[in-house]
Amino acid sequence: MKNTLIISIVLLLTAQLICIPRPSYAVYEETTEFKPVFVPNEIIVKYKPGMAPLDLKTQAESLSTSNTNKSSALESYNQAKLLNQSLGIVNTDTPAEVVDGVVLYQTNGQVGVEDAVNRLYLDDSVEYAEPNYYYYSLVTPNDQQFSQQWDMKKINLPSAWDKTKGSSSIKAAVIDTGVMSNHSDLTGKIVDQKGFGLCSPGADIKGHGTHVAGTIGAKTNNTTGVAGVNWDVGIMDLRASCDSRGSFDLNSITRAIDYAMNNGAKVINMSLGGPRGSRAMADIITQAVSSGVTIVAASGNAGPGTADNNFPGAYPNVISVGSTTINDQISSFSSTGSTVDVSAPGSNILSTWNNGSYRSISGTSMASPHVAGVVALMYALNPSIRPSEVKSILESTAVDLGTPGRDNAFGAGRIDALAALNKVSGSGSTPPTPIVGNPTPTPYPNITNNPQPTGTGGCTVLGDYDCNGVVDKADYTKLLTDLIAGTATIKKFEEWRRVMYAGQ
Amino acid sequence: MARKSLYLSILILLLSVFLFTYHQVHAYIDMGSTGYTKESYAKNQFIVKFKPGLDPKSLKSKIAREINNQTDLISKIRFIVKNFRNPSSSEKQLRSILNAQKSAGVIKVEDMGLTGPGKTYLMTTDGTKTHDQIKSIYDKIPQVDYVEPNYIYTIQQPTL
Repeated sequence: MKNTLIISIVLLLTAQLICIPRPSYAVYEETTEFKPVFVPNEIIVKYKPGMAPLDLKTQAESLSTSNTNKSSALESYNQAKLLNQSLGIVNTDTPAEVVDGVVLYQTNGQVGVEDAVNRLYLDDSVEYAEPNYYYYSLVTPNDQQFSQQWDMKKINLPSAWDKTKGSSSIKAAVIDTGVMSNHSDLTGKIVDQKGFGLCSPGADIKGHGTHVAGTIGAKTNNTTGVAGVNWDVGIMDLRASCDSRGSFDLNSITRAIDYAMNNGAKVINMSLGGPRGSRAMADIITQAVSSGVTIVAASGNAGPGTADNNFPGAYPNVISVGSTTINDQISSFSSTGSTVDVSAPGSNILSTWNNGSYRSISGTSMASPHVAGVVALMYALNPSIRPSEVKSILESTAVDLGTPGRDNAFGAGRIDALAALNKVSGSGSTPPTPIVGNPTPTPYPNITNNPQPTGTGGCTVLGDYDCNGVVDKADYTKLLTDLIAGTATIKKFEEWRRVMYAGQ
Repeated sequence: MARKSLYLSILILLLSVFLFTYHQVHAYIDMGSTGYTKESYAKNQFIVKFKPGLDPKSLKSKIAREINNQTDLISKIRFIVKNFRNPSSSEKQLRSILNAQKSAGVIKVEDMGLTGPGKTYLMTTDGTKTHDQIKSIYDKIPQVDYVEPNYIYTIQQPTL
């Protein structure tokens, strides 16, 4: 009686399962990063031994095969070919071989990849069929305090680092209060140090410059401290402020810009500002930008309506950066105005400090180096990109916040490192090169769950009833058996169903 | 009475020393945490950009070259006299610049070495003239592209 009840429940649930509508096309999964799940119009198929269409064709054409077998092989081949044609497969006779016995089919796109895979899977000759999945690694550096660096995750750096972690040949100039170059998280990253005005190089009594430099390129994945936007970058420490107030004179700033331009800097960060525009600074900035140097500066910390009077940020050929919070709000201090180009995290930013430790501080000073750092990453991908293109890419790929479209608080929006890098490499909608051929084929296409190459195995995955690290139909088969045996619960079945068909 | 005068003299002397020291130490106007409310620039310093080839250094070189091009002593003297009368000669131009420097109280001239056409100099003055007076003096010199104070900027970090 009990068994009958359980079987009835299982049958009822199975019927519900069958009736769940599935999308006929699902090339893109709706994730926060909107990454494609599999390659459009490609299917990977493994046939049972001797059942691959090509094998059947060879068998049918072989002189050593008996006539009966020839006829049988030809019939099976024709059936397979017909099936493939109905699914829009265009290379049944000329598939690419992924690994031994596994072929990669191309389709004409008239039938969705998911539907084609499901249909092939029902074919007796097929051992398994699946989309050509994309795999994405999310690079998580092992720096001890990386978990506190909300800013890095907010601008999508872990994904961006898949494309590039930077290049030590790209020089990023930091015109600031100096950099503590022997900070354990900065050693070896400073490629040049120079002082301007009254400042001698190689010191930072303020801490500000050390913080900025750490954001751009602290030693990363070294199990210590913080991560930088760039894992590899050459930082030019151009010390133009050396008093206790963190003030710079025009003379020192212009000379530092000139030095950076003539000594190979690709990007200059200026986390500084003042209310007066200067001809001398405007002239040297124009020359630097003309020679291919991108200049990034803070929009200012005087709050609403003051960015247009904050220089150098207010110059049209400088990327002026506003500050955002962990919740993607504009920071209360962030200067706003028509000259703000983009925004970046600037509230409570953790980075290196001048006493060898780390400190969390705020300011558009802290937002600017995030942008400068991403610019350095862009140059690592393509060193010949023009400053105007850099600015345009950052703006067009920024996440629009606040009032829809450009606004005076966020500019074009909060920067997105991955989106920017995708555009630099000319592959705006093309994901990274996929790992073709899943080394552990799943017996059923797991369309709705983006596969994770480093996914946790065992029973820690919700819905993974058979504990093989994958939520698939094999879990259902085992569940069914165990439910009948009375060793599984309906709750487990529900867990599996929810995960397996999430979002449908 | 004599003692009173002595005390007064010492007091005046001390006050003078204090004021002088204060003036030197506080060469920069404090802008506070965000700045912007005051005009801020380095005291007794300004920046002058000269038109290409018309800065003092270039003019001096040009004059030396022109004199050297004269073959004999008579020609050299004739050239100098002729230039002295010519208002657009290099020598006259240099002289007007040097006169301006003197009027502005310039005590130090430093070539900033910036890339690009025309030289830019950081001038330090004796403090006898205001920035407006200095600007007025240099604006009258046709060889000058622009003159501006040595503005002060600050880090953009409101919280420490």
